[in-house]
Amino acid sequence: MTEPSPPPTTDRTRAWIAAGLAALALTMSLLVLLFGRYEPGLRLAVSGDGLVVAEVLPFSPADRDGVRAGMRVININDRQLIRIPQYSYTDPPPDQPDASPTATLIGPSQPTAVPTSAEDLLQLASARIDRLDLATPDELANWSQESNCCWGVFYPGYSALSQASLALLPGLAILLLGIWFLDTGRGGESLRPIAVPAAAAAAMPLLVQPLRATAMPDLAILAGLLTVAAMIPLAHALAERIETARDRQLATIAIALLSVIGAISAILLVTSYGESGDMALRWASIGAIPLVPGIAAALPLNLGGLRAAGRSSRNLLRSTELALAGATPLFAILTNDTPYLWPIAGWFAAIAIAGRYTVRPLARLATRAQLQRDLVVAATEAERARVAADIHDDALQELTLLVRRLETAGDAEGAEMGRTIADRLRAICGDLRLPILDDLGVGPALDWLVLRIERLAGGEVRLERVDGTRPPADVELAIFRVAQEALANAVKHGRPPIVVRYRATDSGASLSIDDAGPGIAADAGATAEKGGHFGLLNMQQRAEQIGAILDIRRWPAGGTHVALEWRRR
Amino acid sequence: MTEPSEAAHPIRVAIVDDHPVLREGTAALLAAQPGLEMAGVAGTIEEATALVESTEVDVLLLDIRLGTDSGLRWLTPAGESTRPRPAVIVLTSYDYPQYAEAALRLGASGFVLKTAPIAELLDAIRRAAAGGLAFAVRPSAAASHVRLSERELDVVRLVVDGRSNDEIAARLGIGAKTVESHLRRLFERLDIASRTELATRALREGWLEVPPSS
Repeated sequence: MTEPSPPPTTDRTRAWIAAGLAALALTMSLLVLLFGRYEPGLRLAVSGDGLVVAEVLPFSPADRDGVRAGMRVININDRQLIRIPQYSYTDPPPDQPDASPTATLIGPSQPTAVPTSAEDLLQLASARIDRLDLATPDELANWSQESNCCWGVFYPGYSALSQASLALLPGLAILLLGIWFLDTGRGGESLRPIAVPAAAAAAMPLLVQPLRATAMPDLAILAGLLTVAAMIPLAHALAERIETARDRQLATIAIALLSVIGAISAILLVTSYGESGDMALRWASIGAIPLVPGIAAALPLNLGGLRAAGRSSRNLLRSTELALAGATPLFAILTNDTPYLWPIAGWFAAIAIAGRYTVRPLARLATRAQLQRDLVVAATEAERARVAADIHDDALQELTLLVRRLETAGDAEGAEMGRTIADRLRAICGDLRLPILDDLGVGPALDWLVLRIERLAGGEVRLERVDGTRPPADVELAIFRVAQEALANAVKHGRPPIVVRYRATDSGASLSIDDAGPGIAADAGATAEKGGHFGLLNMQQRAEQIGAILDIRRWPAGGTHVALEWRRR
Repeated sequence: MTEPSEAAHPIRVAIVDDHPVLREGTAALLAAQPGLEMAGVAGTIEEATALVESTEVDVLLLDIRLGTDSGLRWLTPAGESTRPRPAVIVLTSYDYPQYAEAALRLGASGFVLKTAPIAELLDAIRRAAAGGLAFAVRPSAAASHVRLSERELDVVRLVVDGRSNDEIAARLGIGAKTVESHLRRLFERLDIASRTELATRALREGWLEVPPSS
């Protein structure tokens, strides 16, 4: 695993926020289902011998349907309040096919109120409205044979609200099963710490369906804003898993922008009318909030040759997991009609099938290859340490004895020869496994390395180190090997001054090596691999083994920069 | 500077080394020296701790590589000891300045290579027993910008040897007050708090390595 893992406290905070948002949405939806109702958004009042539209709520379904205050009610539900002149048409006789049909007036010649008792009118004014036929006072006053009756509006929303309750089931299932599935590592190791935000973001669009189904503008806007809010913890978690600091920053800015756009969209969805394509686009903009960092975390934005060459296939799995986590909320958003299963269920099925038959087998293969590579490195290191220990513990000690004997016997020349051989053996031991590394740590080992390299480099090699604590032994060894390889490269291909920086704290360690040479070629990783030079690959592998990030790049002004970043977890 | 020990009783020496033949060889060599007495030998840090607890040891010769263990661990002890801790001379195969630096930092009195002439080891033991420092390898490679006069150098050299003000005065043929004022000025100028710190810095920064003519 080479992803930067954020501090666990951040993950925990995000989980609480996401869980809180999901709980809020669920509670509100349940309250709406229990006590709320669908609201067409208009109020009727008794006016004279009929009913009139007294008030229309802005952005309500009535407002959208063109209902305006002052309109008179002709029919309400199945009750007629105004009789409209109606005509029956008789076909012209067969011998005169061109004659116009004869119209016969049925009922009154002008719109006429149907006598209704005052109590009935009052009752009707406050009744649940399923269907209304309306006309403006103007239309009624200037009625003619050509007038069309009437402004008919139909409110099926009562059933929509009960239907929306169906969305709570898949919503709750995604939330609870999602948390369980991801938190137990079944969705991949990289998604474990972000189980709650990922599940909450995918469940939220479904959990707020009842709020939207009330058709009340404020609740509908709240539903949209809750959806946007639920995307942010996931998006933020995904952004933190982007490899380089610069891309992380870009993604954070993108999240902020998309969240603002999403919030505006959530309001516009309710307050303006557009084509259905527009509406889909606006919802999609909410889905983009986690999608963008998800994809950015999956594919590093700078696809340099080095990265591509050294990129472990284990990361394939992680990339896929992060991208899927980022994309899932979009599918949940698109699932906005009964029975609230499509396309989200199709999406999950596709993930399951693709995972079962392609991604996981591939990743398994890759993991095995990497395991073998790691074993080779571990075996080599163990062998080197063993040979070094053998030389030190036996040959060198006995040689020391010999030097003493020769000295005691007065053979100064022989003793001196013995000392020279001892020096050589010590140097061999040091090359195999530097004892300083084990006894004193990587900081002093770098001191030694830098002094030694300086003699070869023909110029300044400087070490700046701040190391109060020591990382674990395997991490120290990997850091030291990367430094050895990078310094060897710097001497071979670069120019002094070479600067080595090492810093170890309680939270991790970082190493960087900069030289003043022409800088590494962008495709150096790929060509080195083809040419059988595995130095860069070795460094990458060492870094991966300890879960560190290795960044090799050329500064714009020239000079190669090798940086290793390891975080304690 | 191989002074015979001025102490009336012999210097009691212990050896910590995981290589038995070398350990015994060194012990036999030292036991034959006048003014020295072997207090015992140990193969591990635990044995060394037990040895120091059970008998009086003035100087402990400590190997760094003890199997997979590090002898430097002995210099940073965990528990309380009832006896005064002996002066430690790190006796190692490796001439890395980083080892010498660590030894000095952790409070060792000396650093001698195993392949060094026996006279060098004896000198280091006597200096350490007298409270001085003896480093065959210069600790670390930190550059020094300190400039000292001839007389100051003489004083510092004797402080490193573990001499008292009176001894320094007698050796240099000057008054004890003058030695004191030399030291006070040095402390002030170099922001040093004690004689030990003066000796440590002198070794670490290589003050005494200037050619006598300069």
